[in-house]
Amino acid sequence: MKTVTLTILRFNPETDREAAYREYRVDVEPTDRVLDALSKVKWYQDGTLTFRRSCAHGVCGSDAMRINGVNRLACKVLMRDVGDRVTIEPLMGFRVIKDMVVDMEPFFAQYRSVLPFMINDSRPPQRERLQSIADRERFDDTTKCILCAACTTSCPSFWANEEFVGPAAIVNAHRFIFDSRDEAAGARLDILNDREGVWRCRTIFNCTEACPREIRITKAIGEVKKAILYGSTAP
Amino acid sequence: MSAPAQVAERGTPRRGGGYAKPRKAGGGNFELISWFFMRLSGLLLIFLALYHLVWWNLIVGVAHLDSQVVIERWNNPFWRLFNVALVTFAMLHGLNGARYSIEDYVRRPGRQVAVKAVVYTLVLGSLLVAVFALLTFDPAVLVNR
Repeated sequence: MKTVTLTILRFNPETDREAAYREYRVDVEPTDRVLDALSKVKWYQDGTLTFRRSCAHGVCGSDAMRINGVNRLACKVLMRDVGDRVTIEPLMGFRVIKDMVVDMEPFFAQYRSVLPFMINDSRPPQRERLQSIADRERFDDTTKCILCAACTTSCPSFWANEEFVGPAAIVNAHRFIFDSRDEAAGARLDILNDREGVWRCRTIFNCTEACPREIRITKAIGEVKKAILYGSTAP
Repeated sequence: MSAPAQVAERGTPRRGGGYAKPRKAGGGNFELISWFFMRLSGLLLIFLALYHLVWWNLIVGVAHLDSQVVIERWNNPFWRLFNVALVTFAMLHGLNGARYSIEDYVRRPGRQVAVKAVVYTLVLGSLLVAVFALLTFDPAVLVNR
């Protein structure tokens, strides 16, 4: 057990005119996660500290935040990996509702805009729509997205322009564009062939670095760009 | 299958199934073409600029660089075209990069147009002068001086 200092960017719209850092000292085990440290602050020191959490095991994507300047899931970062002084801030690029809670609606609007669902109007076969292992492999990586927004909010192109569809939406478009059972790849490629679509990606790789699921996002975006260029999703 | 109305914000469901191609926000394939141009010109510039650098600085050598060497190269149409390609790709590659930055960071529409107008005029004007000089300048003028 050791004592660490958490420097948390706090903002309460009811009382604060602007966000300010506040320090909290908590006792943690090296194997505790940042989420555990935040919970200790909330439960034992300051009940007004506000953050999202749900599964707390890196699956739901609720607790993405900036930890020591980089986007991480608080439930996947161990205290032994962040040092004795930890700075915790909300994700960049979204309106802060309170403390770590940001307005995710623009993010989900961009997500919805790429038709992130299976579209196949052909008559279904007697049993399931079969797919080869090789065909499944093509979009395997992008099925892992948990929509935590760590990638989109680490992207300088998104910081500069919130109309940019963002890496997370492109990843979720990729998941269906390269699915052999889906029939709307053309529509999605048309949506993304836009100044605010894939072309605002400057290949900065922040998204790939930020992804807690280790999705090779920049590679996926590159594949979408190539599919638009060649007018085909063929391998 | 039909999607809930709020889902199909860009792709519109068609009557009888499928999805109509969404309308473009504008620009057509300009962004696609400029992205491809950046890849192509970037690749070419590696060879053009590297050759230019190695030839003038290492093979000819800075110590031997004089007007005579320049005149010899200028008299050869191949090297004129080489230099036209080098300056054209370099300037347009840079200009497109500047356009990306302007569009990312100059957010007010009026100001963006103004900044673009200044940058485009400067870059394209310089490019025009450079290409004009490369193609029309007679190095004999230097010899007869």
